[in-house]
This record gives sequence, C-alpha cells and structure tokens, in this order.
Amino acid sequence: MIEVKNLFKSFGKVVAVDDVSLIAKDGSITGLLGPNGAGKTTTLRTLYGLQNPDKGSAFIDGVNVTEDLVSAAKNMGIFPDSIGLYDRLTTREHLEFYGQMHGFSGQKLEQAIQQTQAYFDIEELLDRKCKGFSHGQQMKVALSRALIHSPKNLILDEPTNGLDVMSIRMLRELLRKLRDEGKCILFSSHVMQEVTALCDHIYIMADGRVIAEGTPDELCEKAGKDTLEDAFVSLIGSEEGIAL
Amino acid sequence: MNLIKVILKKEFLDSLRDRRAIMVAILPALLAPMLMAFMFHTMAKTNVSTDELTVQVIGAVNAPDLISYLEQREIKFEDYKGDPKTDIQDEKVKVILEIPSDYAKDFDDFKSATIYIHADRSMDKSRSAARRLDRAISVYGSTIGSMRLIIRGVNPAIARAVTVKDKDYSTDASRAGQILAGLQMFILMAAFFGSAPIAIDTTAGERERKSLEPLLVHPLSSLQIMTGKWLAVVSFGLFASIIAVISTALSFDFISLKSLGIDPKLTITMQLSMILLLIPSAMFAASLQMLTSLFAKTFKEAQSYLGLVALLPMIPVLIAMIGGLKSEGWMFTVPLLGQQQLLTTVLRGEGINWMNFAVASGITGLVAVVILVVLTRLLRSERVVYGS
Repeated sequence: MIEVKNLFKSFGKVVAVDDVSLIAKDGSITGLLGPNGAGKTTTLRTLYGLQNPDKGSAFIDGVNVTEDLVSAAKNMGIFPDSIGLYDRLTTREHLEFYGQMHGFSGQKLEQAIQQTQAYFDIEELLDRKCKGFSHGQQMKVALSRALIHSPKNLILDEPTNGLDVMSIRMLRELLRKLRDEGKCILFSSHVMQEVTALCDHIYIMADGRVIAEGTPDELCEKAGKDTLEDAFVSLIGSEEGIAL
Repeated sequence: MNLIKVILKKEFLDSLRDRRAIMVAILPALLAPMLMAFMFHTMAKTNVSTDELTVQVIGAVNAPDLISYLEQREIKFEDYKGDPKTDIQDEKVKVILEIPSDYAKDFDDFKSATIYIHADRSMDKSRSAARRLDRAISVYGSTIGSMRLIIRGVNPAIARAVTVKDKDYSTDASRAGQILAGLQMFILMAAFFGSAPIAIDTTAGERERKSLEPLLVHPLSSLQIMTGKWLAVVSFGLFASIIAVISTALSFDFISLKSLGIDPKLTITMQLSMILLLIPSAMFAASLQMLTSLFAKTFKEAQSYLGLVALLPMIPVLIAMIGGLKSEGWMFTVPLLGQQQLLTTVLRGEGINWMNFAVASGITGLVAVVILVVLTRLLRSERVVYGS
C-alpha cells in the first residue's frame, strides 16, 4: 500500500505540491491524472525519497520513506521520470545489476531475469548493448528494471510515453495481471485514455492539488457527465495539457 | 559489503568498455616519465660533449707554443683575416683569438704578454666558446708562471695565496633525486589523470545520462553507493600511479645518465614504497575530483574543472623546486605536499621515514574519507539528483 499524507513542496516561490494526500490500495490500479506541471512527478519523487517534502510524509507499506528509505525501497518498483540506461552495458547486464542491488544472486537472479524479460518479450535485446536502442526498447528495459524484484508496490511516472501501440497493450495487460496478483500500482499520466482504460481509482491533480478522486463511476457522477472524458474536462476546468 | 561490490563491479564493467577514456587516463602516466627520461638523457649528452671547438686566430705565428698547447685540448685553429667586430656581431664567427706581434717579445722579456679574445658574450654560443678559451689559456698561463717561479727557486704556492678545493658531499643517488624532482610531479599527477574520466562519469555523467535517479531508487544506502563508486575511482587512480612508477623505473633502466655523474635506478623496494605512499594520494585525488564533478552542472563543466584540479600536484613540487623550502615536519601534514616530500626521499635512495609516512598517509587518507562522507551526504540531495 502506498500512502501520501498532507504533502507540501515548493521550489522557491513556486508551489509544486499543495497539501496532497492519496492512498493506493493493494490489488488495485490507482491513477494520477493531471496536466503537465500539476505536481504529479514531484509527488511521486517524494514517494521514492529523492525529493524531501516541506511538510507531510509518504509511506510504502507503512514505512515512512523519509525515515527509512532503504527498507521502503525494497518493496518498491520504480519507473521514474528518466530512463537512464548505460550505453555500454547490455540489457542482461542492466538487469543483473538492478537485481543484484536488490540482493539477488545466482539462480534466483537468473530466474528473475527470465521472468522479467518474458513480460516485454525482450529476449532478443538481452545481449545487446543499450546504445542505439529505440525509445520503446529503452522503455521496456526501464520497465523491466522496475519489476526485476517482483515488488509489492509499483510506481510508474508516465510509463506509456513513447511506447508503440503494441507495447502499450502489453503494458496494460501486464499491469492488470499484476493487480490481479494483489500488487499495489500507482501511475501518473496526462493521457486520459490510459487512465480510463486501466484505473480502479483515480486522483485528478491540477496546480499542485488533488481536485477530485474516486472510481471512474464516482467521478462521472460528481461531474454530472456520462463519460469519463467529459468528467475530466469539467473537473479540471480546461483541456490544456491533457492528451486524449 | 556485497552491495558495495555490486556497485564497484558495475562501475568497472562500464568504465573498462570506454576505451578512449582509459587511454586518456593511462597514457600520461605511461608516457610522461619516458619523455622526462629522454629529456635527461639528451641533457646528459650535451652536458659533457667535448665538441671540437674551432677558433679563428690572428697572428698564430706569434705564439706557436700556446697554439700547440691549446690544440692538445681539442681546440682547433683557423687563420682569420677580416673585421672581428662585424663578423662576430653578424654571427659569422663565434670567437676570435688575437695574438699581437709583440706577444713573443713580452713573453720572452717576462712581461705579462697580452692577447685578445673577441667575442659577443651576450650570445650563448659565443660566450661558451670564449669561456672555454679563457679557461684553457689561464691554465696555460699559470703553468708557465709556476715553471718560471720554480726556475728562480721560488715555491709557486707563494703566488697562490688561496686555494679552493671542492668537497662535494652529494652522493650519486642524491644528485639523481634532484634531477628527478620533475618526475615527482608526473607521478603525483598520474592519479589525477587516471581517475578523472571515471570520477566524472560516475557523478556528473551519471546525472547527465539520467541514470542517477533510477540508481538511487534501489534499496542501498547512500554510503554503499558512494563507497562503491569511490573505490572504483580510487582503483583507476592507483592503477595509473603504478603505471607511472613502473614506467619511470623502466625508463631509467634503459637509459644511462652516468655522464651526468648519476645513475638513478629504482629498485623493486623503492618502487613498492612509492606505490605504498601513493595509495592515500590516489584516495585524495578520487575524493576531490568526485566532489568537484558532483557540483558541476554538466559533464563538460566537470571536465574543465578537473583540468584545473589535476594541476594541484604541481603546487607542492613548484614550492619545493622554486621556493627551495627545506623539508620540515609540518609539510607531512599537507596532502600531496607530504607525499611529494616522501617521494623525494625515496627517489634519493634514502628510504622512507616511517613516522613521516604514517603522518602523511594518515592525514591525506583522513581528508579523503571526510570528503567521501560529504559526498555521501550530497548523493541523494535534490541539488545533486535534479540539479535544482
């Protein structure tokens, strides 16, 4: 379970996150929808401990991230804003490195790599150096990195950016499968389709605040609209920065 | 510990595949000592060259004894006709010896016979030729003078009120150490050159290729990550230092400086002591360079900064060479200056003073570790991760 309580964060005079609270439950996909600059990434960065909140706290399975990042990180799979692969290492070497950082070795590491590479069908990429990978290929390696230790909680920052249609479908199926296995999944997106297609629970963010939350049905009801799309537009108040 | 090893292994794997960076790291360590050795070798050759000196002479017939004396001392003579002043100023001739026609008469009458040396002593070549001629002639003069006194039953020592005799206590090895002073600089710099590329790559580079954020979301403490990276950087610096020491030793095995009166050879023991005292300086180089790179905004910026940082080892060497500072106790407490002092004693063949070694290594190592702790603190800071 992922929990954010009364989070505040500002950069100089700019208030990036203004009293945000959210809960992502196990066995459920929680979406964070909002236009660019709404504070989604800042909220997520606080969750994986790289941005210190001015006020408020973040918990992974009850562990306070600011107090014990290492314990919290063990149960987190992160797909951060940046892909950041090493040009001179092969996909396999990447996965080995990330697996080893989670304490895997030998047989267990090999199994983890086999399992992860099967998610995205990247066997042909395993022994190739990452230099020259297409954006989609890099995304797949980065997603595999987040999943290598079969984390209970998964946090993804705009995971579908730059993926082709086939890969997006693959990712959706995978996320559903992981949810059905009881994992807690939190992801941010500025693409309505993504959120609509996947989420059990949605937080809508704008200007650093959560302006609405609920299941898709609840959101439609709140906005008094029939479709989720219309509900979003009416709740956010503009279409700017949001993609269909 | 295992997790530190995981980081270390990855840094090695990644860096070793960057062939060009490795060349940049290792080449100076390998080539600089060879170049220095070659320079000394050339110096040694020119220093003792008894090149035949050819002197233009006016009136050689007036002093056949003097001419034949000088000819025995490898000075050749050519008869000269012309205007000495213009020819020397136009650098057509280096030096002209003029023996006036009354030389023989004065000589025979036991008067002081006058001869002239025409030269332009502001010109290197002319001056050195004239000096050689001066010296040879004054030796001839005093020899004749002594003989004249002896004939008159006078002890020539009477005419020599003061005699200067040189007592030089420098040993061959200590003279070698003097000459090798420049080498210390390259040996100290090797660690900086060796670890610079990887120091940048693991800090500024990691941020620039955006791999720092994904790295930091893993369950490792900042200390584990930083220590792993640091050990990798130290290893590269130390490797370059070892290369520099071996390259120095080999260079002086192949060339001879015997003509300079010295014969610097680095024994295995000397090489090992040098490597031992270079360990803390490699640690210091790694810490300092990683700290600098971590503050740089970009990879390029880090590179320019480290270009300056690598000049740091020049400071103690220049102080020691120009300032002529005597070796004093406090010097061993200053990182790099202490190592420089110790290197000097090793190169002179005096062996290591272990007390000084402990002080220098302890303090330099401690400073390196303190910087490592600062690095650890900085690693997960927003400024470092996101540059904000």
